[in-house]
Amino acid sequence: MAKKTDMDGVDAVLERFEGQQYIADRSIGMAVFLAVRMGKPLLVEGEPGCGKTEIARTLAAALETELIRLQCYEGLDADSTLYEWNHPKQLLTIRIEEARKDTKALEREIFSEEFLLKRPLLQALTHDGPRAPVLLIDEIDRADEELEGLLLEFLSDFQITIPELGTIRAKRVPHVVITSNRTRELSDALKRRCLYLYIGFPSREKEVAILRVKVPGLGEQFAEEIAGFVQRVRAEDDFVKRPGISETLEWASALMTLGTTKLDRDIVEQTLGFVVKDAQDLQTMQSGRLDALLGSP
Amino acid sequence: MRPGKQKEPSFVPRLAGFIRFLRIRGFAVGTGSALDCAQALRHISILDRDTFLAACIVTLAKSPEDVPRLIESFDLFWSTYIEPAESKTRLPVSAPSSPPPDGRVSASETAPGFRMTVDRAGVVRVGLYSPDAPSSGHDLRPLDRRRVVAIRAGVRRFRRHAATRPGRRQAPARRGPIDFPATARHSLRQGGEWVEFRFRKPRKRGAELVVLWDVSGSMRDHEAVLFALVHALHRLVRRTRVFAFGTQLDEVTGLLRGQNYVHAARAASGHLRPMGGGTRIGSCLEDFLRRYARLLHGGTTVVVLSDGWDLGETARLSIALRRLRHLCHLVVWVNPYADDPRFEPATAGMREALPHVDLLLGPGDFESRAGFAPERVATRRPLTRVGSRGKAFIDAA
Repeated sequence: MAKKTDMDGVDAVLERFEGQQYIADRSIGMAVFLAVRMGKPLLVEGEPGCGKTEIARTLAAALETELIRLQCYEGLDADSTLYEWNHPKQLLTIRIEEARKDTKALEREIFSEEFLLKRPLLQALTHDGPRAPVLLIDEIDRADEELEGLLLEFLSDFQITIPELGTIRAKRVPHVVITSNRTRELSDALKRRCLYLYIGFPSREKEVAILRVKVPGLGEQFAEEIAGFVQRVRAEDDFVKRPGISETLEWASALMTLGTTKLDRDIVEQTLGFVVKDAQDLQTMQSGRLDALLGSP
Repeated sequence: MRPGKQKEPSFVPRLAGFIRFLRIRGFAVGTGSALDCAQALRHISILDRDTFLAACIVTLAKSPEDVPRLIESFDLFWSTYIEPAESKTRLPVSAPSSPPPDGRVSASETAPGFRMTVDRAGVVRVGLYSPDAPSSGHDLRPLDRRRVVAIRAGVRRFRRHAATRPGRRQAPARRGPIDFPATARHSLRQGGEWVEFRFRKPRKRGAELVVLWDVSGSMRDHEAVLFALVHALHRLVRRTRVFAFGTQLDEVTGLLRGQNYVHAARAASGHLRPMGGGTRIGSCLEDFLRRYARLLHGGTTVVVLSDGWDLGETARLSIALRRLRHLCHLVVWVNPYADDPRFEPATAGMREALPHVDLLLGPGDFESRAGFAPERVATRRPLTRVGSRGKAFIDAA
């Protein structure tokens, strides 16, 4: 069922994103538009540092709603994602109330919502705001496969079953954005439930536009130089870690902080760690490659 | 024109035809994704090709490798699409034994291993195997079922001993650190007395595999058996990524996903790059490291299936393999000739590779019940350079 939102087309999405300083191309616009319109989770995969997480942040800002984030890591379990009973509070209540209330009433009381610690997924379902929240499930590939199984009910029906309370359904279906760096393949069951978007490295023109928007005061010529250099680094076949947009932005900010307005060999060498973040790549750069890259047109 | 204007029901059979076409071409498009696609098209203008394509990508693609294949299939299908005579009838798609006599062969037949014809009744006929396919194509004819079963059994044995590492999750164990909550729960059966302890220890994470599969011309005679091995590895080890290489590296995990052995063989036959261009193992490994180094960590086992024939610079192979071994836990090289007791690493590539390989195996090791027995590996191949990690693997087996 289509939901009433301000984003009534791909162009509207692109416009709203641009208003939040996120330069998106049409593929991103289409994916976000369909995810919002169809109420489906959006799975975003891509190179690290290319703006996957930022999509969720921008979407929340564009929809003027809350962003609820679940950061995934190995060993993440149901207690940290769904809910947990507040055991100390329950014990304390039992001690205080056991003399005054009968057992049944006490049991009903300590297994009520008041004693529930809501974790991100439940927070998203029970969100009370005027608009549906944006739920970001970040770097899902870092979590164990079991977590994907746990997400299936949530993503298909937007409900969570708590044995003591029953099934809790979403008041408003949250906008779900799931990101993955592809360190492992996600299950087909999860992918089936999601729309898909892959974000690769940006073109030179797009990177210049992003730099101009994100780094205030950066001149067009200097932005061109920075983007050109980063693009040449990315094109190097034998580099292990290629810089993403976040590296470019950090580097540009660092150069601006240093008061630089033009790329020269010394300044690039001193700040190379912002762009090249692998020891072997750094070694390769310092042993002559840097001159070649700076000399390229 | 406002989006969603074109809602004629007649478009549904066309879309169904496109979905069937994608399935024939090896895409695992489920009914759910097809419905998503149909629903998405209600919200956009399908008269704009780019918008239509973008919506198809968002709803039907499930990996970055799917995207270029989907674009190609999209162009192929819609550029040759002809309205059937009766639009209400279902769009039939079939693989004929020969082209129909009245058929008009589309320009797309030049695509390798692909043929599409549309007859006067508007019937689209698709064949994955062109009768005039070049001899350099891949022919992954399914192996005898008994051999496939034996290979799968071998992969199960291999899986038990492939690289694993303790995860953060705990599991009940017979010994190890005391699990106090479980012991307390268990004590309730004993009237609250702690008479029997429960233990937990970190649960092992499942094996993670990266399979690098040489599909160059020199491997032609062994393609079928190695494909059976690749398919079994992908099917039985949950976290497996498969890459095919010859002169270029391509990920083919998507072709195998959710497919049974026969269908996967058909899909792979149609999509692997043609043979005959030679093998550049070194540059392909460099490419792998550049694009997919993030897949490698202390729990990854890399399985290279190759005979070691390398037309590139073998020094590059040595450097890339050293780097690869540094990043992963175990490098296993499967050479189709290594089953022969007289096997010697005669190829330059193999000689460069061996110092960086933990374990050299042959396909026979997977088929045989005694596959990874120490005496088999150690005595039958005195020339095998077994690294310390490989030694641990054999000892464990």
